[in-house]
Formats: sequence, structure tokens, C-alpha cells
Amino acid sequence: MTIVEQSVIGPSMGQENLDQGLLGVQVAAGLVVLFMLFYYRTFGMAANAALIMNILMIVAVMSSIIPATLTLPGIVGIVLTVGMAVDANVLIFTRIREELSEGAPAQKAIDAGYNRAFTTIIDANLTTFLVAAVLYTIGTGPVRGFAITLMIGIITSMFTAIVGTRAIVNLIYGGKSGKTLSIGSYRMKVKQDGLNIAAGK
Amino acid sequence: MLNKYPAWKNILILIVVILGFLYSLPNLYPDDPALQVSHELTELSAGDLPTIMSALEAAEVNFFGEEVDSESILIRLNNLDDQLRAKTAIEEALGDSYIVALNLAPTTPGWLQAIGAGKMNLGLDLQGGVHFLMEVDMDAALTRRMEDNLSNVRTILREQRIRSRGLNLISISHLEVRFANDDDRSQARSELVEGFPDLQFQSREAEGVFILDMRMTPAVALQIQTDTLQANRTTLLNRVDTLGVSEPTVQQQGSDRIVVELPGMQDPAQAIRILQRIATLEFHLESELGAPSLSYETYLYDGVPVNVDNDVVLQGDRISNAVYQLDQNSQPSVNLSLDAQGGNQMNRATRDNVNRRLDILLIETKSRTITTVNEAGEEVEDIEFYEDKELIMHATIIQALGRQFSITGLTAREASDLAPLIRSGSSGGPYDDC
Repeated sequence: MTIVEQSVIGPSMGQENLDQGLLGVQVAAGLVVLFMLFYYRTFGMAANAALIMNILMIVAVMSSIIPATLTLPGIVGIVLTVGMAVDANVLIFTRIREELSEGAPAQKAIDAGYNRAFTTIIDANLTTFLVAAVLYTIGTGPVRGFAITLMIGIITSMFTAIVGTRAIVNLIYGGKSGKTLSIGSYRMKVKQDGLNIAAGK
Repeated sequence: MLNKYPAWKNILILIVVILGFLYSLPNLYPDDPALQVSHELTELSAGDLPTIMSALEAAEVNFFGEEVDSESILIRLNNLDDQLRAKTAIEEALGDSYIVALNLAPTTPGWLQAIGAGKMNLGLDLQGGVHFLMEVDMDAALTRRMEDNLSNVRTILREQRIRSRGLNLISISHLEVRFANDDDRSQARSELVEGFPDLQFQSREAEGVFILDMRMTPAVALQIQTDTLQANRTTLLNRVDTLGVSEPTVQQQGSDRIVVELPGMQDPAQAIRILQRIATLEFHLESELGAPSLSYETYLYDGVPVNVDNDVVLQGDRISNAVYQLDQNSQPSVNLSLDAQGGNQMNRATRDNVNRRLDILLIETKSRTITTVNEAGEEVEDIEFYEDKELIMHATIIQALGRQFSITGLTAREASDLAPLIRSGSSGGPYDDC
């Protein structure tokens, strides 16, 4: 048996990598939080709470449930999940805005938004998960570290972005009728009954 | 359309959030830099901790929270600088056979540990450490197996009193035996076929000589490769454990490579020394008086020269275990267990050689740092590997041996030293080919 490759990473170098990685996560999460707040207001706050919960859950799962090792590519996986988690919320909220702009009442818009966006989110996450699973199976070293955090992140983000935000939204708006929603600006569509000319198919 | 979750669903989400919070909490407690002291082969003695403590006091290093168990001592230090200074101090005080590993000791509160919460493992790139990619020399492993076969064929032919004109290893998967006539060859073939299911037999004639070819099939070669890699991985794991690294990884990569990652370790030379220390064993008979001088090599045993026959009776990888025990007369002994084929080989070799001596050679590949002068005239330190053969046992065969036998007549110290030595060379596989 011969040693064909040998490398040493000093502890200070490791600490630097860790610090920069964490800074990366913070900046990414911070920007996403600001955007969601600005763009979706109260709903954005719900999404942000879910986002923080999502990061906590990834850390918890990796610390105690799956003995996975966090590497630098693993941190990249977490940053990617941060984006993907709000991606699901963007889908849902845009859907709710559309419902509202078509004149649906608040409660109905929320329900329809979540229900209709659900399949899209599942499809998007499932395909990403499959790719991550393939990466994990055939990859080595750094690739696996990326794939494992991505897989964990997809599962936890589905929970937080769908169930988590819904719970918060329900707590704020649920059970009351006729309330306006703080979901950012949308343009009401003008109804032109009977005068529409369908574009030819 | 009320958009309300039932209470149980809200509570469930709340519980998940609380759990997520609790189990990620340990990551907020930074680890203490620590040193883990252990002995390469034996357990620690009671005098080690005071030695360490006085060494640290002499070096004026502050330490706290020392934990002692039979295998290792853990000492916590205030910062990374202290950790390095303390390491040097302890190494000087204790000497070479101790392992002082840089480590990180968790400071997670007890109640969090009680619910099974721990810190995330950080990879090498985030924590620092040593990374090795090791390549197993498969050709050497196959050659070894064939040499083993060659030695067995010779023994069987001798036992059956079949005269041969010579045995040769043609390639790593091809062995030929030459005979003077067809009768000898067919007799040999019928005797051998059963004992070597791994080999394919073929007869041919060349220049009036009757040759029996024995070839290893590709499927068998592949199986040997798989086994070899597995054995190496296991041995590496055992070796890595003695380094006292907190979260080592030893992973197979591809068909002939193994990745070893030692987080927190900062001294590749020490790691190499321990990893390469793995050795193989070979059982040989003592050479008979008047044997030709090319058929043996001379080793020292307790200062007395001993001639050891070159034929390998048994390779160390046939040993499944070696333990130090007191026999029924409370005499120290080392009990060895072999696998089935090893038992047969041992029996065949020893039943006609009662009262002869059986020798065990420990073959270690060691590394040393050599200083050479390069083209630019600068001194460069390089690591050189060399093979070190040592006669570790020289005992009389009292009776024919089988799968289980014991070595007696040793002092307690000798016996307790010999057992781990034999174990370290047992599953070593092709380590002698480092």
C-alpha cells in the first residue's frame, strides 16, 4: 500500500474557511430576507421565519440525526437550499396574488394559492432531490458533502416552506373573513365581460 | 374557507421547531483544544498522568479538565498555541511509544448530551487535518497468494513423494510444475486438483518435459482484490483508532484506493508512522543443519543467530486472532486461531516436523526521514520506506498443530507483547508491499 496523495490543512486555514462559509450563508440569507420582506410584506415575514426554521432544522439533522460531515461544499449546499426554500414561497405567494387580482376573496386566494402551487413545488423539489441523490451515490469527497446537505435541505425546506408558512399565515389571517392581505402590490385585472376576443388557437 | 389548522397540527409544528432548536444548540458551544494521550500498543499505566502534569507545569502551560480512562488521557487547554506547546512537552516527557494526538473536546452541557444532541462534524476543509489517499498494490497481493500456492504445491508433492523437476512462478497468475514423465504429472494433478479450487489446471509438453500449468482465473483474482482492499480498510481503521483522532474516515475509493481523513491531526509524519507500522507475519520453519546457504536467512533471536528457512509455512493473513491468556497452569501463553485453510497448511507443515523449531517473522515497512541535497544545493527532507524483518518467535513444535494452538514458555511480559504484535500482522494483507 502506497500513499499516492497527501495533504495537510492547518487549523487556522480551516477556521478561515468556516468563517467565510458562515459569512456566505449569512449574507445570502440576509439578502433573501430583505427581498422577501420588501416584496411580500407580511407573507414575506412568514417566509423568513420559515427560512430561519429551515436552517435550524438542517443544522439539527446534521448534528444529531444523520452523522453527516459538514464540508465547504456542504455549506454551498445550505446556501442553495436557502434560495430554494423561498423559491417555494415565491411560487405560492405569486399564485395568491394572481387569485387576488382575479378578484377572489382573501381566504379563498390563500387556500387556492397553496393548493395550486403545491404540485409545482413537489415536482421541482423531487427532480432536484433525484439529482442530489445521484451525485451522492456516484460522487466522492466534496461532491458528496454538497449532495448530502442539499438532500437534507430539500426535505426540511418542503416542510417549512409549505407547512410552516401556512401555519403562520393561518394564525394571522385564518378564520376571519373579508380581510385584505398584506402580500405586496398586485394589479387588479379589469373584467371585460362579454367583450373578450379570444386569440385564435 | 376558514384557513385554520387544527390544534394538533400547530402543536406538531411547534414541537418540530423546538426540537430543531434544541438539537442545533450544541453547535453554539465551542470545543476546547485538547490533547489525547495513548500508548501505541498497551494500556496506560498509573504513573503517566503525574508525568504529564509535571511536564506541563514545567513548560508553564495551563490545563484543566483532565479525563483518564484505561486507554487514554484527555487534557483540555485554553488555546491552540498552548495545545502545540503542551504536545511537545508531553512528547518529550513520555517518549516515542506514546501517541499524543491533537483533539477537540466538546463542551456541550450534560443535559443536551443526555438527549443525544451533539455538534456537527466538520470536514477536513473546515477543521484542518491530514488527508491521505492510499493505493493498494494489487499485483503484490496476487503474487503473494501465488507464492503461497507454490509453497503448498511443493509440500503436497513432497508428502505424496511425487518427484518434480522444479516449480516456477511464471507470472502473477501463472504457476508451472515440471515433471520427468507423464505418470508423475497425472498423479500430481489428481492430488493437487482438490486442494486448489481457485486454480485452473492444464497439461502440456515442451522439450521432453511434462509441464502442469496452474492458472488463477480472473474471477478469483477479482475476489482476491476485493478481499485485499477490505482487509486493508479494516486494518487501517484499527490503526487509525490508535491515533486517537475524534472523527476519522477510512473510505474505499474506486477499486484499489482508500481515502483516510484525520481531522484535527496536524502531524502527517506521525500519522504515516502509525499507518505504515502495520506489518505482516510469516511462519517459517527453522532451517535444518547442513541446508544449502541460499535456502535460509539468519536472524537474531535474544542475541542468538537463528537460520530461518525461506519457505513460507503460513502467511499472517490466515490468522484470525491472537490473544494473551493464562493457561490451565496459570502460565502465560498466546493463543492463536487460524482460518480453515491456514489450519490445514499449519497441520501439513508441522506434523512431520515435531521437535523442529517454528519461527515467526514480523515484516514491517517503516519510514524514516532522510535528508538529501537537491539540485539547487538545498537540503530537502524526504520520507523513505524500508522493510524491517524481525524474528519475534522461535518455539519448538511439540505436536502437530491445527487451527488452534498456543505458544507457551513465555514470560508474562513477552506473551502480552507478542499477542498484539501477531494481531497487528494478521489481517495486514499486502502491507509488506508498502
